[in-house]
Amino acid sequence: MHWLRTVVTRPSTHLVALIVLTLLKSAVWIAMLPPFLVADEPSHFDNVQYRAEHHRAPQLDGSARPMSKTLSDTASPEARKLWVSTLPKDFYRRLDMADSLDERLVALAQTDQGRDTNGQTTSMGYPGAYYRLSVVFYDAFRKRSVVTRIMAVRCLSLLFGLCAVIATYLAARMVVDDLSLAFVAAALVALQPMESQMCSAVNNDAGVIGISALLYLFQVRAAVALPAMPPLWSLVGMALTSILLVYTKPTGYGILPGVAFLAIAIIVIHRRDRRVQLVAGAGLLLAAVLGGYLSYKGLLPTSLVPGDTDNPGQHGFSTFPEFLRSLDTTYRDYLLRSAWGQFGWLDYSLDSQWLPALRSAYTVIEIGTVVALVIHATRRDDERLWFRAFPWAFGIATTFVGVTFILYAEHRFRLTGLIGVIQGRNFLFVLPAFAIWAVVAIGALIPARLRGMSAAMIFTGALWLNYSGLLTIFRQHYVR
Amino acid sequence: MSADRRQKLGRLWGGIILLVQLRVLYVFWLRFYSEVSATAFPDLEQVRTRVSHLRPILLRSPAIDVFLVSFLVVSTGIAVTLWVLAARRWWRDSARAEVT
Repeated sequence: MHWLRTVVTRPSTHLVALIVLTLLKSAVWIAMLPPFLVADEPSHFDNVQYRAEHHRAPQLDGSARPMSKTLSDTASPEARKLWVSTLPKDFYRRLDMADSLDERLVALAQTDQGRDTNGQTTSMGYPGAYYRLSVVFYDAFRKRSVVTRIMAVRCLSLLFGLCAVIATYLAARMVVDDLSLAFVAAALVALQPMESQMCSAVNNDAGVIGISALLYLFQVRAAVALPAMPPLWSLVGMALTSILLVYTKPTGYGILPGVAFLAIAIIVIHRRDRRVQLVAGAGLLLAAVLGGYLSYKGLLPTSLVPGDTDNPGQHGFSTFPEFLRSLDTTYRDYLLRSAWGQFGWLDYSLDSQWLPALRSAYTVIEIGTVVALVIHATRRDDERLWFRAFPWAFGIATTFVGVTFILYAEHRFRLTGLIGVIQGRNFLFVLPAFAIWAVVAIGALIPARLRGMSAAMIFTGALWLNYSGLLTIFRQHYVR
Repeated sequence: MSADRRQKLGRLWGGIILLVQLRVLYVFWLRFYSEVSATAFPDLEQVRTRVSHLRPILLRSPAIDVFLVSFLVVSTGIAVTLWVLAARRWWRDSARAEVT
């Protein structure tokens, strides 16, 4: 059985296992989630449809009230038909209501009028990278039923989810020496229930998750190399994925400070290197010219939150620290629940028994972090350490900055009078950094010879959570 | 504390943790079978019938059944493999510690 052991402990086998696991899991989640019954899916699909049918981005034209409805009255007839017909909670449990719907949707898809929309939904405010890519998937099935096109675009989200899992595994390999811990860090990203939902739905959150994970991989590669010069491909990758992220969704911007930190560190450490001076100067010039041009054209996202922010204090606080102090247990529970398992239109969630377990997991990670730091500080023999401290600390900082950024967004929303706009799923872009942090911390609490068991335990817990998520969706939509 | 005593305590500690982990695995399997097999599989045929008209391309039956079963088999297979490898590693490391 020696060959079998060799095969299953090979890094490439781990990667193949993760890819197969993610593809199968996503296929099941895509199939289980009914079309349009995931938060904001109608709005995002409407954006894709407008771009595909009109070959341009939607603009506010005043013909509808996009902020007031999930799907405006001027959306395509086929989308409205599907939305209205399947809204009853028992739709997928009954056969009689659905018999004629499929034929009518196919008939609507055959005509230009049936697919025509004026794009007046909330998603028109977002940058277009995710939607432009989605158009390719939409166009491949242009005259098939709208359900077919929704599923096709969901496959793009699946690819972003796969990208996140692969990037997490590769990043974890640079931080953690133990292969099994690196594997479960990526598996945690693959199996996290809300990540599974968002990467199985038409939603630019999937784009943020995939692109942020790729960006984080390049960041970790650069962090590992410091103080030496990081490889060129990691720097180019960081630049390109940062641009792509800017044009995907503002909620992912919280990972960009890491890019700035690394860029400054490289410039400071290698300030005497002529190539660095040249690239830094050229980069600044390019950023100034490009930024000026995009700003002049009105293409640069200028604000995280639309609307009037000149009305502070209406909720009893005006500054961000005051806002942080105002966060009570109820709000923290809401964030925890919506980060791990509040599905659909936030109308059903995992059993509440998971909340104490998740809170305990966070406590274990905090204790493990302290233990790992003590081990690092007291052991001088580097060979005995199973993780690299600097890129690990960089991941912890990335998580903190990302979480703070999202909470700040909630603070800004509240100043405009909007409460609870931010949900736990908005934290998912730092999930790769958090997953790697978590496995190192938990690994610190387990004796070295049992570290494989801690990996198995984390995987089992993540798998259990994912199954529970699937069962929750199954019971909500399909069981009488 | 002598080296021999320390080694015995180490193995005892490891054994306790292994038992706890096996208990977790046992509960996992118990829940998995009682929940998924009892709830999902008998209803799968009904689900397939009810929403088959909305299943495009990949999802047209019986693909969903294949995907679901494959996902369950692959994911639990990975979990079991991880546990087996971890147990082997523990025994190997314990034996090595005993020799040294």
